[in-house]
Amino acid sequence: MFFGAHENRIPRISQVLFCLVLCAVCAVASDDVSAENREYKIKAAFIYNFIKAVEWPQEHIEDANTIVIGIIGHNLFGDAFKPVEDKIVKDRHLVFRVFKGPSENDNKDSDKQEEMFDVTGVRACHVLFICSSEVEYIDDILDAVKEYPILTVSEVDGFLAAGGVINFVPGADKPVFEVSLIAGRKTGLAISSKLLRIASRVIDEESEPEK
Amino acid sequence: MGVEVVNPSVFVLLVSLYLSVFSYAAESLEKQDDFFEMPMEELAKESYVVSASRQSQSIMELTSAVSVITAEDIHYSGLTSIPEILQFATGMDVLRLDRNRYAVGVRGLHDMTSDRTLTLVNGRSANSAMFGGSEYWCLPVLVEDIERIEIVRGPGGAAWGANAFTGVVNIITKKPEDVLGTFGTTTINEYGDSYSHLRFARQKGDWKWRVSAGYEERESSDKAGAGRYSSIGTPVLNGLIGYNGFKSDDFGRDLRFDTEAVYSCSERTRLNFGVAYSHDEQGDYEFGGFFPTGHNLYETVRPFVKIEHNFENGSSGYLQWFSNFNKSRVPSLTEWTTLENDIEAQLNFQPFENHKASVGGNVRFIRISTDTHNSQDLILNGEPFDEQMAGLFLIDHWTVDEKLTLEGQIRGDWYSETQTDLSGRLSLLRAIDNDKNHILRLSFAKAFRAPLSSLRNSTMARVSLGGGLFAFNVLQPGNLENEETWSLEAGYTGKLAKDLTLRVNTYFQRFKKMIGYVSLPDGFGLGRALYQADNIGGADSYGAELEIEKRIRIGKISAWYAYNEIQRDDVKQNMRSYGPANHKVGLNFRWQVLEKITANLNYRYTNTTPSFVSTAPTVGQSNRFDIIISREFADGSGEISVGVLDLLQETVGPNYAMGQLTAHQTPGRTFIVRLQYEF
Repeated sequence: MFFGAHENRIPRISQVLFCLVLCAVCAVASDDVSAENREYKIKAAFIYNFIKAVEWPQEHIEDANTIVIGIIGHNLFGDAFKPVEDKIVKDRHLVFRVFKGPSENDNKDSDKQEEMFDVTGVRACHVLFICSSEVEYIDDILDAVKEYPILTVSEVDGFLAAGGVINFVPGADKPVFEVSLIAGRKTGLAISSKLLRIASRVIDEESEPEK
Repeated sequence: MGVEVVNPSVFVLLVSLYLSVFSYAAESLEKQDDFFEMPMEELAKESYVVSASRQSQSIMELTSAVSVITAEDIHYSGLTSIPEILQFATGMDVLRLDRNRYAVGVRGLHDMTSDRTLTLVNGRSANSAMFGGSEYWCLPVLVEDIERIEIVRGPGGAAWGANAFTGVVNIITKKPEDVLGTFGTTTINEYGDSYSHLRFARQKGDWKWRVSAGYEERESSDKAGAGRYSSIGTPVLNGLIGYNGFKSDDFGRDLRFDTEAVYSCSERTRLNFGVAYSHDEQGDYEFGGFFPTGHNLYETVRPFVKIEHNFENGSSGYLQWFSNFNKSRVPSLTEWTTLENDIEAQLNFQPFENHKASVGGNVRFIRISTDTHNSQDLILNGEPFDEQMAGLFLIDHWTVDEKLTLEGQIRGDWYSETQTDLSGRLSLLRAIDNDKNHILRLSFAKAFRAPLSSLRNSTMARVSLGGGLFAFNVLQPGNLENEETWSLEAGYTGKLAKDLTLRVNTYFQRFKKMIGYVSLPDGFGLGRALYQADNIGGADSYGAELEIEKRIRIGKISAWYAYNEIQRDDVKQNMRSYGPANHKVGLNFRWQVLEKITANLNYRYTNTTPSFVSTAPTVGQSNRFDIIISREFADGSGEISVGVLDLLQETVGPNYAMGQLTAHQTPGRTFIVRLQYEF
């Protein structure tokens, strides 16, 4: 009596199966595409916001009609930046350029940076995203741009230690980034406090990271 | 009374919605620029989910039906109990049994011991080693420390092991670096209940740490003005158990500590460790006609050490040890001590281009012992038990092309005292638009539930009839096999417009060899109740869930509907639980009324909940309605909130747990005030 039961009911599984079949049919019907995943859309939006939150030295930007965003390496952004291709930020048009990374270049083992990647093109960027495919060449790329006021961004471990400015923390369960104020200052960039407030970590003093 | 399982009009509505969504999807490509219009603060809240595949995935990539309760949802709800929070999540079945205990299950099969839903804290098992269910009151977790709760609906055994049978509840706490500073909160209500929490989080050099301490006190239902008892026993039985003297002394006092420290050993290596502790004291409850009216005491300790490393080649992994220690004294059951030690490792790597793979496993050592104090105590024959289990899993997420993704999960588990078994999940994700704003999912999954020692070895004799005979008897079962389930699922996730997301999930699930209690004939002809656990039979489960969420500049609005059904093979089949409420509806509306004032409204409709264990009355339908108004002060450092929970006073019960002959009402409508400050 305590563990008794209730009366039976008549199953109507066919209706459920109908929904399942409907989904299956829809799964095979589609049109063609070109887009990367949501993670890179979010990162693209962050980079777009970084531009608003960073000030470049006057001499580097005053004569420019454009703000150039470069992506070097195996580009996972796909069309993620497409919605802002015609946008104007800081009174300048956004321009996007994609560069082959050293890892994609036959001359990747060269001693000369110019033979490994398009150094001139990279140096003309205001923002440079270094893809994770270039993890072995981070030092080379950063070395090529270290004298230039370029906001370098990446998503690999050790990027800030190597001299990068902003790094999306790899493997995090939400989009978090860390900032090196030291690297920013060296390149003449002024980073807004709003951006720093959202960063998961800010390196401000040599060997003494703190929020 | 015959009940029509699937209301045709409901399904017509669902199918229409599906078709509308697909039509809309094709026309909504211009909506791809959502993220660019979001401020960075909002972008940073775009969570990934880890509970579906043990890999970090965005909501659009998930291979299971998943809902996420965010820290903001929890904060503005004004609630202080995890089951109360869970009740507002899609497809969850939650019943309050008394002021401390809840029956909580994903898509039903819930009871005081809901051993078919796996509860995790930061991915670490938090289910009772004794009974297999989630004892939320014992969890040393404070609600304002919760970053989010991920709820996976459907079998999750391939990722998490044997007990993720109908679903997974993964409670993820805030990392120390996310809560730097000092924080304090106190909630009180009209009954004199209180919930207080103090937290410190600091960072120095490569060290970060968080320390939380909390104390909660709940008055008994009697003192809170409710507590009226009811009984499903006969008048004779009521006389034998002393029913007329019962008092609902279900007070609760909980002390909780939760600490976590993080040390960044290098740019690539991170060491996490911590310990959580809770001490809980509660009023006792009647079980099997035995009501000694002592106090329940629970001690829980959960330490862990985890080292995470990111390799130069892009792979990552972790190695962790964690332990669950619990000592419980429940006079109406028995006294028991459990100790689990678990060592787990996982490696995430890219074996081939476009593949994200995870491989790992764990070994667990379990010791269970009991200490009986009374002839009517529940007895575990053959205790103490020393048991072991080991599991290995492999998960591969393969992006076949820009539109098609396949994910396979397979896991094998070995149990020293029962049987070795396999779990699996195979999923197909298909984008139907250029920007992957509309994703279709098809999954097939298998999972199992291993019977714990409390099912395999317990006996009990209650309510003396004299002459060594008892009215209520649980007998030693024979060999119990694993419960099994197979699931076929289809779903859609879509961003329909700016900040508007829709998720639809449908499923058909087959249960096999479900363990329940069989009623045996009384050889003496005295009408005694004799029960024995056995693999009785199977059941068909099916349903559909629809979730829609719209973020607005001044808050968010979300709504969901769940149709969940379980059809047992045998109408009298005992399944040790409640069945799901067939129709459930949820609504959350959060609105920033003025610059510093936020209103939060939570609503849930639950229709009747059938019992799969007894002739106890089906739990009636209810409407739960909460309103909380919060106002910031001191430049946002402080906040005061006022509101009312269960405004309509419809969740008072009484709700019976399996094996209980009696139950009592609990307080419903509750006015609360909360004060918080952080600096």
